[in-house]
Amino acid sequence: MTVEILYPELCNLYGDRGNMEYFRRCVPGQYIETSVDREPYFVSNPVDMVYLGSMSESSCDRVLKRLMPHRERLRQMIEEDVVFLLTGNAAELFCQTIQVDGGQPIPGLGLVGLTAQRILPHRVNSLVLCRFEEMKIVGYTSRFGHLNGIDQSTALFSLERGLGSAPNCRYEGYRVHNLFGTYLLGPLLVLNPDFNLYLQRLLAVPSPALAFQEEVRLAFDLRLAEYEKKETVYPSHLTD
Amino acid sequence: MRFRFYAALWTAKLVYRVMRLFGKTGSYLPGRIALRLCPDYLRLVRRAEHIVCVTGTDGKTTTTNMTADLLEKCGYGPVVTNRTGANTEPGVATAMTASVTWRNRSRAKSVVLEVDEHYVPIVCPKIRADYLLVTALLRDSVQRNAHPEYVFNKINRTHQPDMQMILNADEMRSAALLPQNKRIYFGVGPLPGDTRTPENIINDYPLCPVCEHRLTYEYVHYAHIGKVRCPACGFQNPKADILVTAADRETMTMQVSIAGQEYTLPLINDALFNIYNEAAIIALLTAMGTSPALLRDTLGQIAPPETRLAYLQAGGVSIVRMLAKSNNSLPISLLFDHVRKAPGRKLVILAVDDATEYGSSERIGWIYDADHEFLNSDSIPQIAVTGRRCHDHIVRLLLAGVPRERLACYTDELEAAGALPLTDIDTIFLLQDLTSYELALQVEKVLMKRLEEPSL
Repeated sequence: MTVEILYPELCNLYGDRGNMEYFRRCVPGQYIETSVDREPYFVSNPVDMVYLGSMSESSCDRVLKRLMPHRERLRQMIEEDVVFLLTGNAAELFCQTIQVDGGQPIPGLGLVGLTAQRILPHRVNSLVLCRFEEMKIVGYTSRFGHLNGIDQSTALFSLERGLGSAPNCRYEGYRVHNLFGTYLLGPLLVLNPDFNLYLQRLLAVPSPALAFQEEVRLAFDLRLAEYEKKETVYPSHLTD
Repeated sequence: MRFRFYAALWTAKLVYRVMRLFGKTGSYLPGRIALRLCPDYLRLVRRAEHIVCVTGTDGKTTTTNMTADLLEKCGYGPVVTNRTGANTEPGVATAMTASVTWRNRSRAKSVVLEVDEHYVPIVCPKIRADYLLVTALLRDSVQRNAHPEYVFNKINRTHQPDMQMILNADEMRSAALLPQNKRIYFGVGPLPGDTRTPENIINDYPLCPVCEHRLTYEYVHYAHIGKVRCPACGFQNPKADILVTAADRETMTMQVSIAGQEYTLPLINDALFNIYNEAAIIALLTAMGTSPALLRDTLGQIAPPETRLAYLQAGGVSIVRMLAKSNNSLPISLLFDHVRKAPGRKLVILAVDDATEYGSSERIGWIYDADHEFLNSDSIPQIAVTGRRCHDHIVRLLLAGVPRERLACYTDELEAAGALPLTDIDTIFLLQDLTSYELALQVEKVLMKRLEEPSL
């Protein structure tokens, strides 16, 4: 299996590097880290999965600039059901546009039919509890933007508590083929063992397994119990 | 306006006195009330002769405390400070209240204020700060500070043209703050143990801000802090006006170049982050006109606050208690580095758990930015992780390659203190969170008792 981690030197905020650090311990394979001064490996090679994590707003611009020439190749990969996992504001880059307050919209990669909205200098922080198929998903969102236009057909997770992808949105994240975009930080694949196993099955990993299963499950059970408690506060407020 | 101001001042002073009578620190509420009664309070309160603000991701409280102590010893007293770290606008208003009399006459020669990064653009112009010392701008709590670029942009909006900046030449982001302001840079030259490339997981400054080429290093102290250069366009660090050129941990002295002259000065604490804090303070005092001779005579008389760092001895074992703030990955990595480099066999108690403070663990992601790998050392035969998030830390430590048999998980800190084997170790490092200070003292007490009376 080949996994490409795009621009890890820039796209590593909020502990998101933990996603792939942990995943590579669960699933052996070839993990290629592509730095910003290199052409992505996927441009001329087949890959099974592409990962892109959270980044600063100026890095969004840099990453967009670097991915834009490969937009058609990315579209082709999405249609071929290659797995993409975009966490944090990486999910915004694949939208049609990124609307910046008071400015001209920045063209996104245009690979999903959604728009992103940047709300800088405001931010939102919230715990998030969601459902995905029969699984509970836990995470945290801390961001300077929203994803607009998500509906049942494009939703990744159904929101149970906390803040969805936009104010009053009942969903968190989007899914187009096997492209998963979510604002959830965690790291998602460490905090959610069942979703991790789901991705492994999607990737046709012969024997899906979790590294440090006992400890990961213990941590998940504790967190889920806490997230489900009535008294747990879900701050979903704007800060500046 | 005059009436509103005096109503605010007197109420704040009264509230402060009442709170002190009831054993409270009274660091926020008096200031909050004053600002409510008189929104322009900070502009109207009489300023002291010298106003120093201290900000940055880490080391604010330590640097503020040590600066206040040193100013007192160097003839800039009386000094008023927000010693306990009440660093938002109300905290600053409380400290400013303490710096004046009931008739709004200054009773302090100097005011040293720790200021939260977000409040710098609000507070510094209002109080007409003379100096802004910035320790560094690094990755911090996601909820409070998002990322360093965001915090930089916020501080960079400060409009206080007369304020002199005291900046870290080795930390490229904060070194570029408020370029129009007068500035003095501090830095630390090459030291044993430096590397040629960043060794920490986090490097928040990988690319040249001018041409986006990858930066290269002459030496790295930690993260992206060190001597850096862009091979494509020649962009590099500013020159440090105050440069620590050597630190001798045996004699607890350091060599410091001040305006091109070499001086031997006392080393307050040998941890690298405290060497930086001391260099920053020397830069500030130099900017204020203090002679190196006076610094030599006084620096040895100050110490980091005990809530941050304490050394104890019991039964032939050292106990080192250090503040290790959760949500703050780089400073904790520095502590891990300090622990691994300390001599002898070490037991580490990691009592770092923000659950108490925030009521949940949403930000556990920060542990994936921290270098738990540094604790994977044969000189650390046991690591005990305590608190509600101990399983998360255990996963992280396993991912860092620490053998499972070296790890212990206790949700109860005191249980850990009573049960951990204390044989065959030279030092216990107790890493406590900001919110677990009292608990850490209890843990420390249990450990001391067990070490002093091994039969217990």
